[in-house]
Amino acid sequence: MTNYFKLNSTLISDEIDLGRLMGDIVFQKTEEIDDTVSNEFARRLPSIGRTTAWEDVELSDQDTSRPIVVGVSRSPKTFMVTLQIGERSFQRVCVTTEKTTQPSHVSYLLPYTLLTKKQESFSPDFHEIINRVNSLFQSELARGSATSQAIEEAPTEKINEIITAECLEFCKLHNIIKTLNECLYQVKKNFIFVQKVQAELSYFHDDEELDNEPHVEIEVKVDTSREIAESNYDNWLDWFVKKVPDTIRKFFILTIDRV
Amino acid sequence: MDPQDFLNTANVLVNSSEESDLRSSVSRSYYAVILFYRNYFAGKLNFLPEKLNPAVHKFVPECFNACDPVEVKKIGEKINRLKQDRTNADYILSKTVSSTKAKDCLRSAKELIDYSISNQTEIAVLAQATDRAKARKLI
Repeated sequence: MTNYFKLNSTLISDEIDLGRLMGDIVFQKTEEIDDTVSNEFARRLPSIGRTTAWEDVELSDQDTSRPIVVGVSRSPKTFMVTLQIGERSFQRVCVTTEKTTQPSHVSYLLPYTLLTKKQESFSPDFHEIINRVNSLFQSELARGSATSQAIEEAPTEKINEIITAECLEFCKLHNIIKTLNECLYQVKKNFIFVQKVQAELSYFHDDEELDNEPHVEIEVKVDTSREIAESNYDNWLDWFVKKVPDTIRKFFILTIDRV
Repeated sequence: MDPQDFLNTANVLVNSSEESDLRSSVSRSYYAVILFYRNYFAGKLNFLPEKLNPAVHKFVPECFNACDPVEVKKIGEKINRLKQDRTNADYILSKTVSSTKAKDCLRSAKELIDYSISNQTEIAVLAQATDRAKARKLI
């Protein structure tokens, strides 16, 4: 039995027809991982989530090099593995659900290989990743309790959210408060390392603009790389264009301010 | 000149340490995109690009936004996002424009211009553009 997991942390199913996933990059369970670990991973996958950074990876037929681990870093509840294929590097972000992040959790996330459209598998050196993650944790433990205190703070759960009075009034007037709240909720859901979210009224000041209608600008301030921010934005946008009707969408624009 | 030439200007300005240059870089990035697609629609639908002024800022993103494929709608939203960044850069001086912001806008502009429209998508986008061009009596 082979398990496949789609991007976006969505478990598809066991024994899925790979043909259906053409065009997607999927994670394939490696054979040496026993089912207990696999099932545990599957159970945790939706909530562990936010591996969206993989979406930045568009492997082509030319990408034939084995991925090389070029870096491992961590913030509260999150660790990031940077891999390189050929001349391109990409990152995978994993967010754990536990209050304390232990190296053992890494093993749930790593035993998966990347498949390209050609269905060739590229397996990063997982031992190397685990070693480097372990080193990272050990060096943090050596630094003392500051880390464990930080670990308990999930960055995405404490967002400084500001809605200006003018914006609120505008949303009430157009009966779009519910959409505004949903937009903000989706920001919290899809973005990581958010420092601030602000919703304010804006106008297009273009001197050529015929009709200068106000709209809501939702500005998300994040502390991530552009690749991750864009990946998060793309997920938010996916929800936005699918769920919010055209007539309402025109009232909202999301911008990203990276620090 | 080609609208993409504005990307070269944006690229020069983005390396400046002056915020006014960074703001101008954001603005040039936006104009590279909006004029690129203005010329694209004008070429496909046979009207003079300049005739679309001053409605171009609304016309271009709307042509994408009103299409059914999700990926095409997203292009429209991304153009709107760049438009918002450009508006902030040119008019909202209380909001700081950082080097990071200017660089991000430049990369977004390049990606939007490099976006390859498939034949099927093009039909849908041009249908929207045709309706809008007719409403504005451009064709």
